[in-house]
Amino acid sequence: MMDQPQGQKPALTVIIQSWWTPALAVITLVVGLLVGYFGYPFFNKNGQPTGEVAAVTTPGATTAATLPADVTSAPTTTIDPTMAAITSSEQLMAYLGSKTTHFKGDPNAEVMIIEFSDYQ
Amino acid sequence: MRFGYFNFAFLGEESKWAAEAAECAGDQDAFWQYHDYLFSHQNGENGGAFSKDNLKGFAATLGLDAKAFNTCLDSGKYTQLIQDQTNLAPQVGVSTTPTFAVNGKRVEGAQPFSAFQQIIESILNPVTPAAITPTP
Repeated sequence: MMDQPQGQKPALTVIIQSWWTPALAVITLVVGLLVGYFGYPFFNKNGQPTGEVAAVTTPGATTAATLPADVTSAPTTTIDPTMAAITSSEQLMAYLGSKTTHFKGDPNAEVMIIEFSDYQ
Repeated sequence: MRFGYFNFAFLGEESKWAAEAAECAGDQDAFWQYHDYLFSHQNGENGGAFSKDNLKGFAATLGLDAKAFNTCLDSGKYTQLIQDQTNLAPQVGVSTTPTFAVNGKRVEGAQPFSAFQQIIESILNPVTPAAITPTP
């Protein structure tokens, strides 16, 4: 058995007066996690916040076209099957172009800009 | 250069109605005219500025065929189109407006001309890496 060196004290001393103290902490943690996990749909009924930024509602969903640092795919509740098969920015722009109803300028231009906007 | 407008009508009912109204104006070849009119007559969000009555009034002001426009808007002819576009936008990483896709490059927010100029020039004049030459 090793003796505590004289004059040296532990940096932190936790005095637990009852075994209920840590047990209560663990129970509180577990209850909090369960409420957060199962209660999320009730706290976030609309799925999207108001304001200028729309929420991504389904974290972890399969990504479609992957264009890191460019226009990238992001998970949403309903993944467009065509989007899921797109693998390049050229394909993506072509697909977005096919879904866009109004254009200005030269249809054969080398540069295409698509603006995503809201009138409000 | 080619420029397209893609609806991301996520701010509420009046966003959707306005987007549908612009499409209805497009039936009379007045999409861009109506589009510009909407942006120049913004007045808050979902407070009545883009109520259906006002949207019909805008069409009349622009000299569109009121009967055809009103029928189009009231019938919900473009409701699904606007919904589909709005659903698609987040799938390419769009979460705020305006967002621009410039040949696949994302530009977020109301950026100055120079921001677009830089990207466009990099597309038109890609930098070719210098050749490696043996040193004597």
